[in-house]
Amino acid sequence: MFRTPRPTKIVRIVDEAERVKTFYLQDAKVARSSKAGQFVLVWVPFPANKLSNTKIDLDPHDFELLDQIPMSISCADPANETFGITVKETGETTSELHKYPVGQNLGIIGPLGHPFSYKADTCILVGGGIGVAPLRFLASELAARRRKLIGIMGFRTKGEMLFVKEMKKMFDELIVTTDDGSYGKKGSATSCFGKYLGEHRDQGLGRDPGIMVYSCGPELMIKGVLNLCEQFKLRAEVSLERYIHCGIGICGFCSINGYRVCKDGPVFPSAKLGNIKDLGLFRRTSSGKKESI
Amino acid sequence: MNSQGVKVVQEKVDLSTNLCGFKLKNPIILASGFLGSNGELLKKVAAKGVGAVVTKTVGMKERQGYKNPTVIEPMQNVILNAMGLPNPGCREFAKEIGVAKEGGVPVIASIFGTTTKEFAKVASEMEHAGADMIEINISCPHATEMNYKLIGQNPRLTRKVLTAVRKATKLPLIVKLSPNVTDITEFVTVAVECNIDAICAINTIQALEIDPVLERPVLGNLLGGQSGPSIRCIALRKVADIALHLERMKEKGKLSKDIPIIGVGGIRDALDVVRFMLVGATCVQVGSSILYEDMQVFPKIIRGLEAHMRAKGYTNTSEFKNKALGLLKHVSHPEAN
Repeated sequence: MFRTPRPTKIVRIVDEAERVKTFYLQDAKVARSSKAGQFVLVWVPFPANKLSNTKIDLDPHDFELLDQIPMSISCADPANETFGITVKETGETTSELHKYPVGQNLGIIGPLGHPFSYKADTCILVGGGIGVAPLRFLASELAARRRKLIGIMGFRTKGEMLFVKEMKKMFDELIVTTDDGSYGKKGSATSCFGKYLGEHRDQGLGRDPGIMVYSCGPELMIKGVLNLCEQFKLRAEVSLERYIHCGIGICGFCSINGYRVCKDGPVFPSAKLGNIKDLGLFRRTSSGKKESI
Repeated sequence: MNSQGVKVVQEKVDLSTNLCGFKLKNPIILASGFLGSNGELLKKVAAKGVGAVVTKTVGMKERQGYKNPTVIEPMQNVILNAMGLPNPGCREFAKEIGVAKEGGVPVIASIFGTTTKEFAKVASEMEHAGADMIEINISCPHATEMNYKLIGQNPRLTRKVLTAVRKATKLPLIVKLSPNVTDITEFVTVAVECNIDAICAINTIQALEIDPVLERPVLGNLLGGQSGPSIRCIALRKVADIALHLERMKEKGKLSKDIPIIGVGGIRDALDVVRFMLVGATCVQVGSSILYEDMQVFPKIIRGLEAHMRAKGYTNTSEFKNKALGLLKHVSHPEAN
């Protein structure tokens, strides 16, 4: 299939948390072939208030609102040929998308990118905020393979929690943290992960080659998680985010130290991450300019 | 000795090519716009064995580029793009040139400006940054500041820009021509008269894609430029036209030196490289094919070119360069009839 947006119908919308919705889309290809950690490019073709126009006579200014954005796949249902993207309202494009109703079409390219591996017996998933979305897909894939699942999921506050009820059923052990202590343990996912590793040090964590840490969330959280993994000699795979133009590996704008997030990533194994010196420090804007995170 | 007792002489194939005084280890160059937005990726491409790399086009001031979709593949062998010249501005980009140079191959800085003054300034900034050559992009279909009319479609504007850049830098200058003109040779004459060192052809071909269900143009910029294998034969024709025009200028005494042509457009494998060389290209650039084979496309093409030359008994690319041009001499250009 060619890498151009294909019209894909919204079949269901679920309000997950404050300013977060999951859009379920009808697409056999993504539903059947995607792996956790992969993403789709989601093209929002019109501002929401122009959707009912019978004659399209858009002011070019309206196009300023629109973009095609990379979104992690948060679930896939091959039987019903649907998949989900969990979208937080953060900018113009996502807020237009949030106003889209069921039945409308979005343009989809994908699945794209390098996924998480499912090769571990014991899996520790550490997520933060909207970064929990791809980990939800990963957890369901790992649970189906009967892996031992431990989860540490951090949110700012109770109202921003995502998929907690659902994940409790999938995980053998799930720890939820909130920055303000409004739910679960008070504090960050990283500090909770550090504490967890400290408490389980005696159980030979670092010597077990069957353990893998998977992480997605704010980059500073990921960096903290990676530091702990190094300290405890644990393998890790993390999902990174950068501004993506082409999404198919040819323009190079999403590069971080020569690795393209869209093609070499978004999931990177810890073995590769040693070369990624900008991690947690710098990113590039859509112009290619390097700026501090 | 082989099994028949015949002495086999395995001539060594030499791919090295001279381009504007630089000895490239082979004639394969990374085209502008692909992986060239930062030095680290340019270094990675250099490590794949290419003869030189061209940066993403850089201008005076920072530009964010157009909204996505900026690159699409609407059908087989067709790639459309409208990036909108995103770049961090030449000052900021100077650091990337430094990093790219660590790759050990010549770094060609692709430049654009919104005024002739800007073109000159960016060229001189790139010279200071350590670029080895300058490729002047007068043909990007997305430089909208020039009122939707490309510099590369207007011989008068082209002359102004090339003259200004020529004055601004001593570096070898390559001009990248647009195929979206009635007669490309008109621009070749201008380039020769402005003392440009090499000609690169072609840039993308004006194009459009419409989504039949969503009922709107697909690219964020609405309009775009086409690249990929689908444009290869168009590019070949333009390169042949340019080569023949340069020959005619020489015959008429209007040109005394050799002006190398860099062929670009849809090159997918080694045989495509040979095709371009047979009609007069000294070097070629490869870009869109990265979509199909990633960076491995470069070593594949280089090995393939070696194998082809060995099979044909060539030791040097100059032995077959221009070979198919003679047949075209009397048909390629109306002026020749």
